[in-house]
Amino acid sequence: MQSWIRQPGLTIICALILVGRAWGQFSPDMMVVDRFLAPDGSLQPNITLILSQGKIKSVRPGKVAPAGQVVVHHSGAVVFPGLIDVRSTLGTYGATSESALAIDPGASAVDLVDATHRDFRSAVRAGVTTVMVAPAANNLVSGVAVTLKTVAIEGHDRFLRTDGPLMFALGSSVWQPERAPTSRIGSLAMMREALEDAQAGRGHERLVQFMAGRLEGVVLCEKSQDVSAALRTFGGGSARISIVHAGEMHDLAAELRGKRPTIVVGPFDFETPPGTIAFAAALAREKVPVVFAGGSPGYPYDSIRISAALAVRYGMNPSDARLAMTKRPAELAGVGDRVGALRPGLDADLVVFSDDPLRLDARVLEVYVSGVRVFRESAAWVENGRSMR
Amino acid sequence: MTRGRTQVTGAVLAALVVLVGITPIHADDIVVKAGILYVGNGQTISDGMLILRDGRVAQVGQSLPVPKGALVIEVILGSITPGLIDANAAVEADDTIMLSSPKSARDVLHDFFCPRHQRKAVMGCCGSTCSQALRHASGEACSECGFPNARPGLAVGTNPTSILAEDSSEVIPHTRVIDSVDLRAKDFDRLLRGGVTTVFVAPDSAAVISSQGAIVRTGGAIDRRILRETDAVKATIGTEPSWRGRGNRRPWRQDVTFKTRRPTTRMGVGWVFRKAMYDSRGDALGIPPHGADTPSQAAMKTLRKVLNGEIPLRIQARQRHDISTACRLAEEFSIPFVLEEATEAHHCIEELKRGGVAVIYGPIYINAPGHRAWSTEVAGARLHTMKALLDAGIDTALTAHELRDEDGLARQAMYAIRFGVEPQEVLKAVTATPARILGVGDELGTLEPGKRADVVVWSGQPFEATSMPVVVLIDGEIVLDRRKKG
Repeated sequence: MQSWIRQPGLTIICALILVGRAWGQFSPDMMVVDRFLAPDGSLQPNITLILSQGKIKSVRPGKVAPAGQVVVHHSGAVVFPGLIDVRSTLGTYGATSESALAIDPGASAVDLVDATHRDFRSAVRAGVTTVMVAPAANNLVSGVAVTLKTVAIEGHDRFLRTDGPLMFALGSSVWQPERAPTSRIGSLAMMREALEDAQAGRGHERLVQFMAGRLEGVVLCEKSQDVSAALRTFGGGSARISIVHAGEMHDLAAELRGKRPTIVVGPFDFETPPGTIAFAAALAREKVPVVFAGGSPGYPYDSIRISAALAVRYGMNPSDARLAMTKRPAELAGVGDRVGALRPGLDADLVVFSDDPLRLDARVLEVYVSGVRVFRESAAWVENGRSMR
Repeated sequence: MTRGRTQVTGAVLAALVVLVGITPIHADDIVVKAGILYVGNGQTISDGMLILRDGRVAQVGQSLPVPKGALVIEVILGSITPGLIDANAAVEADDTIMLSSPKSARDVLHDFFCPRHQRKAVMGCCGSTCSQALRHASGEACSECGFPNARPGLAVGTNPTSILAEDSSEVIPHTRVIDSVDLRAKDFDRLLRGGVTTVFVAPDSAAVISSQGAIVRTGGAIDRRILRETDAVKATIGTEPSWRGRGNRRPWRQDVTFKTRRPTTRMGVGWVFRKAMYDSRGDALGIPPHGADTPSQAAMKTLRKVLNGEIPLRIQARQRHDISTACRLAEEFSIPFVLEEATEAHHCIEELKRGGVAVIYGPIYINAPGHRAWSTEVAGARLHTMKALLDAGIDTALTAHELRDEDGLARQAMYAIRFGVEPQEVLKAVTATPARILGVGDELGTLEPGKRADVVVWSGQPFEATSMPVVVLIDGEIVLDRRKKG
């Protein structure tokens, strides 16, 4: 036998090259599947997706497969739009906010991200195709977030949005010992002053736009009282906000009544108190749009699905939970016209699950970004749990 | 809520309390009956009863006809008073880790300093960023939160240095206490259990001119609790702004920071107060403020409202020369003010009368509780000061400040009675007078018809050592009911 065959390293490298070539090449014209995520969040049977130039061209009911086309058949599988993590720090190193200014709307998270970081590939394997990366919550106004895909596809722009939403933060992480504010009252007073100035057209352009309702904001809250403070401070006027509240939960329904900003919850794990998770379910029942945060890479890449599964376990409607992984986060990031649903005109970012992703035993079979297959489950992965890396 | 139940069975309390009847869910009216009813305006009705409707007092009297379908609360040997009002409550800013965690302080600190929790490492055991974190770690006494010598639930919970006060300036009247108040904090439950239904949440004394306080209810639906989002601005004369405002003195062998500033003495405190007021006035006249310790524009804007009398001013002063300084400053800027703490007020009766100053006195103590124990301003405390103030005809409210439960406002009232004040006068000092000082006298403070139905039903005579609140209603809604537990 030739000696190079006995070199496992070489064999693996050759195999990787072949796999890599296949990744770059395979992009089907059609996809015929048994179940898919409908716009209302339910799972519907039998659908044919027609893809063209990285977009979903049309969505046809039933299984149609004309001859002469590259078609993917998946029996029993569930097709989802790619999952979206709005609380990711993928591709960042070290501190992700400046500590010089508490009000720093000029910062942009796009400057933080190393798009070639290998952790992006791990996210792809969990079915996450889009992430929003924001500066850390150490400033009252910490700059704008960036939303990008987890894989670069030739000929398609990887960055969906680089200029928003504008990130705000309340809570103890904002208080610094050596610059104002140093306390909760100080932070709220500063925030109010900055917003009043912006309302009058003074201050940074982004804050002025935010107050005019032309740039949406996301407020990172630490405690329920920060949520109350956010509603008091930002409420009224034309400013649009979403609230991230991962901390302890109380019954905020009374305060949220009639205001209904999107609330980002989680990530939940199996140690999260049931009351906290049940609260998320209660919000969804109150018709408050809920989004599950993933927190990659600090949290497991499957966090979004684990959070959703637990929320359903504690009373959330499965349809709401599915939308909270796809459509709602896309809307929060302001990229709902590009990703987050199986709709004609949107990017063909698709995840093929072996079952409903709310079931934790459902596997990711394939992932497509802009119509190109970027992940395919291998036998080795299934049998040994090994990485394809 | 009891009203929300179709039926309540077996609601019995000991021998004293007899529940006459509870009627179905659609009862809109509530009837409260007890052996004696204190209306709060000096009127006393034996075997009195109250009829509450739509969250207000509808009728007060003796053997009134009970409306059909009304919910009846009767405590035969008990008494009824208006809900107590604490006009200067130091409310725990939020449930700090120390108090809400079942772990010991040392375990909590381990969490802070172990590598897994490093992100939180800048936090001190007071639940916020603490510049003395290393002291916490080594178990050395921390001058900020008192760890590990702090008295749990008191010094730690009520030490607001790092939470209620903004350290970036000595003049922060534009900040609002309500921003740091967690309405869900357990402290409000503790106040409620002591019969207190409304509090003025006091700003902290760490800054010379501190924040605007807030008036909040201690129970009921969260979205209806805030009565007034912003109220009086608090100033402090004495040593507290210099020793509590952390790091005003330059840290030994450390760099000068933005906290390295005046005041470091009593004179400095007065100077910062004066300069802030003159700067605000001058700024409005087009004279730009200059020099060290210049207040921010937002602060000066608020101070001008204080100078115009749009926002009331409170001054905390304990010793007699501090009280005199407060009176002098108020005269200089012709601002009326309310005096807080007033430990040595019995020496200043004439001065206070002359200035027409209302006083929120308390707590009554021999051994000073809380952080004031370290203030060197408490040696002159006397037990009869409350009587001296009331006898002189000075408008005086009583406060328990940070004390709760068995040391709370009801107990402070008991001490006042023990040291010479008439019971009816004491009742006024914890209900009608604070309501008037807070400017909510037409809504709260007595049980006259038309006022908000804040009612405390006591198991015996109010303020007796053996009495406790059995039922508390806020806006006609039962928020505490001890009858069920027996």
